[in-house]
Amino acid sequence: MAKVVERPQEKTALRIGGKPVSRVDGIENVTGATKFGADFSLPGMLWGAILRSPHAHARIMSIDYSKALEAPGVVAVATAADFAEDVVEPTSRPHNVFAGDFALFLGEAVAAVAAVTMEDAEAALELIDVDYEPLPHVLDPLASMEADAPVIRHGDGGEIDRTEMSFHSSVASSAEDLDESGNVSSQVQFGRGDIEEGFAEADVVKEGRFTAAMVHQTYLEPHAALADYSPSGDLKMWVTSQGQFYVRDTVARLLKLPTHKVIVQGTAIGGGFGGKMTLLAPIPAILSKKARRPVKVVWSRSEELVAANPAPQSVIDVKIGAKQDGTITALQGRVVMDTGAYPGSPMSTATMLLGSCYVFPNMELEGFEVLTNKVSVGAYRAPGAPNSAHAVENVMNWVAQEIGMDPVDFRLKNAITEGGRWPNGQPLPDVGAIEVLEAMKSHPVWSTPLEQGSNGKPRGRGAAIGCWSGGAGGSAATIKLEADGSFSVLVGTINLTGNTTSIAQVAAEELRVPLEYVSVHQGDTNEAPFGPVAGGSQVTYTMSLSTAAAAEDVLRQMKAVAAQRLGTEADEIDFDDGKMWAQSDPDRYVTYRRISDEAVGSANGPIIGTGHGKPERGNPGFAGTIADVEVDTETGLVTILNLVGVQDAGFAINPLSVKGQIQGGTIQGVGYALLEEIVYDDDGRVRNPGLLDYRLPTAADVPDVDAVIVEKHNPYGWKGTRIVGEPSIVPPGAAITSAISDALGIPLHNMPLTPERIVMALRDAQANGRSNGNPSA
Amino acid sequence: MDYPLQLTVNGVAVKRIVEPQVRLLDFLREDLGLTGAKEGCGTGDCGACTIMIDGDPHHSCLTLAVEAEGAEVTTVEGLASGDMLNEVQSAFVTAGATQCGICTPGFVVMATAYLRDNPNPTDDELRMGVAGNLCRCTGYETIMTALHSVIDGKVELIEVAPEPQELVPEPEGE
Repeated sequence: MAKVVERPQEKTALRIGGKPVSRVDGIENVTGATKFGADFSLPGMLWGAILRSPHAHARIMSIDYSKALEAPGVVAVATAADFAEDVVEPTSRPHNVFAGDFALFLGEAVAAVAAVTMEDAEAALELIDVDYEPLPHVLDPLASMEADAPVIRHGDGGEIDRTEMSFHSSVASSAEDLDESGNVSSQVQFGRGDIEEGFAEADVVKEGRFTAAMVHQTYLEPHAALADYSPSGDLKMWVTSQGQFYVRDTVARLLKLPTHKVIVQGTAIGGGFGGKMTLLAPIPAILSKKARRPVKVVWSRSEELVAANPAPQSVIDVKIGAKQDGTITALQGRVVMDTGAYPGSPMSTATMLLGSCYVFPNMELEGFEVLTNKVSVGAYRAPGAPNSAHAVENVMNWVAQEIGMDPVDFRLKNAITEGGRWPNGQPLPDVGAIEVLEAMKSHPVWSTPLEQGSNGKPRGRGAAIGCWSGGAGGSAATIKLEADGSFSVLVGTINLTGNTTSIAQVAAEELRVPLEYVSVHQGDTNEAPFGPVAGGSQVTYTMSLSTAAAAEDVLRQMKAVAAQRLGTEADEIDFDDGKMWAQSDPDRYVTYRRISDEAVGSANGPIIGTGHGKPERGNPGFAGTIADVEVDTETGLVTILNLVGVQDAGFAINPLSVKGQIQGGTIQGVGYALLEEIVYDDDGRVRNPGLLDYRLPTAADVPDVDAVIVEKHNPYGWKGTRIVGEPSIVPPGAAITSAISDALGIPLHNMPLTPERIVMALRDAQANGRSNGNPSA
Repeated sequence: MDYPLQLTVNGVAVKRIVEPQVRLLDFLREDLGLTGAKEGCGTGDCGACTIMIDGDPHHSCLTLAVEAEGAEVTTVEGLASGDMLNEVQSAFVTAGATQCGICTPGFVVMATAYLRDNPNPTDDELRMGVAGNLCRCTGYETIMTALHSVIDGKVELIEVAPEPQELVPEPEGE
């Protein structure tokens, strides 16, 4: 059951904004009519297949694909040699479409073939002769920091490309890029006060080292892209991606084409979660340019798990000191984040977030981004934040337990509020940390003591909060008044999470018509005004503002036409339900349909409004999780008894959609906590490249999530809206692992807590004579 | 070696020559243009390609086209009858059980078959019944809400492409 707390009366007076609305594209989804990336085809289309490195680290001496070109059905082969040297940033994964002089992880793309059938393309891969000189490799981030580790090279120079991380977080943090004398590709430090004095003031100090595994976003739709390079030099593409303009710009740069000649239609997207950007699109693009025929490439699930851009493995040390009255005195933290073969991880964000939920008078944080010969990482829903929260929030619970304070009260005493500063010094706007914690405190699950079951399986409870800064990019929208008085909204943002429905709600609210009178169309990159990448939870936040601005522009024009007809002034016009009237004579009205008719022949001409801009600032979102678990100590199997997800949405434009985001993010957090991990063998090969062994939560694994929406008005958003998509995934991993720790009475430091890890931890604890006691001991 | 294949897909008789190694999923998507069934994994682990063969749910990624010889195949495109969505489809729309929508075709086909054979499952039975269909977006709760509304007989069927209603009449004398 979703609950909405703190909704002021004036908000409920809205027509459609803030009301739960079924998705406008729901019928298309349930009938199979929605067209996703792989669903597009063209006459004469070829299929592309990708050759991947069999070595974790190797020098590529030569590539000979002459035999492949002669194979049946093969039309074109592409390699790194097809891209101009000056467009390839050596350290940027998106710009290294194919491995150049070095293959840096097992599975890195080396070449691609376009052929008449997929079978022909795959058969031709076997005929490409690549001469590799294998090099020593390193897979563990801590080992990679050692002086004698094999050095992972990217060729000469180049700025580290942090574009994708910048989509997700509007908060700057100043990571320092290092030269490649070692495998630490960047490092960051934040400090405040006097750390030694801070710990000296503390009555209780707790610390631990926490590991989180590499996990995959596991959108159920694999990457897919179709490219059609026409004889006129236009490159038309259909791509499943979170950002069609980002795809366009990347492809235009790599192929040295004018921006307007690359026309990208973002298709319906079968999940992205930060992981679907530009990895694939350049491959069909270059193949189509060489073949002069349309080319489609669709990744397999194993390619996804081996060679996409998963979320990073990390090792995080956290030490927190507090006084007996619950006042935190100091935080020390150190993040080592495995970025894989290319830089660009969320290391600096993860480091900063260690110190972002509470007031820490003294603080010392440092972070290291480390290269290894594994697939390079990317963004996954609040990138790096679940790793941070896992470490900080477990230690917070140990401190609370040691001083004998309720963990939620301990957090309430120290929670960050407006004007509080994040580790980078940036002051916070009015955030909802306190409100989220109060909603947790008053929740029936929290206020009812957890009783042990009669089956002998210990039960435990954990609480955690987390936050995410979110994006706040520029956006634009266009609205047309159509002939029958309805409206069409044109946007360039991808409908990732049902935000099309929210945009329609905003337009319907501002234009005062039923939702059925508004349609939202996502145009291609030449048709539509610019829209930001659907990442950083920002689409609804920014697009609601530009949509409202476009509606205002439309209404201004409509009022002028109506005023002329009614013989009054535009500022005398009032409107509702598809009609406008003079305030002095409400009985005499002119319909939107008539206004549309008259406008075409008027001095105004057809009515079309545009809105564009950028939110004045970002608006961090806070979320909290309460988890009750039961642990089978024989098998290590964890059953989640209760799961509560609380989140501040500012103003929930569509509570049904916000509730869905909280539930979905929380269950992804269950995956982090209990199930998901990409496992490598010593050669750098992924051992579980399929969904049987890379286990997602199923319907049988998870409980219902009690999703609680808190609404703390954000003055910078439409009607108070805040970012929504990401915060819900931040605290569940911490809360669930903490609950398991509470059940077993031992401190636990790893995610995921698979049955194997739980049984091993219990054995270790028994061997050390420590179990069923105080996990903070 | 080509194989003459005859079957019925969503009530339409189909006659085609296929190669024996062609998967039913590819036959439906590429030869017939029925792209509703999705390939999420290709190994039978995610359920996105679920279709019915003679009423029974199957992974079309693990089925050869020739195995459907003489059978009646139903895909997500064939679930609605006339202008009305079926109960499971309607319940999904009402409950907001689709987010990205990629798992939805397989899920509604699976759930339609499961609830036809098991009209009154417990929540645990229902969850186990559809555990072979993965969803990454919803956390399953809205899907369970939708399916329970079917079990409880509380679904209002939804019409495909309903007629638009006139918003406001022109004033008298216009």
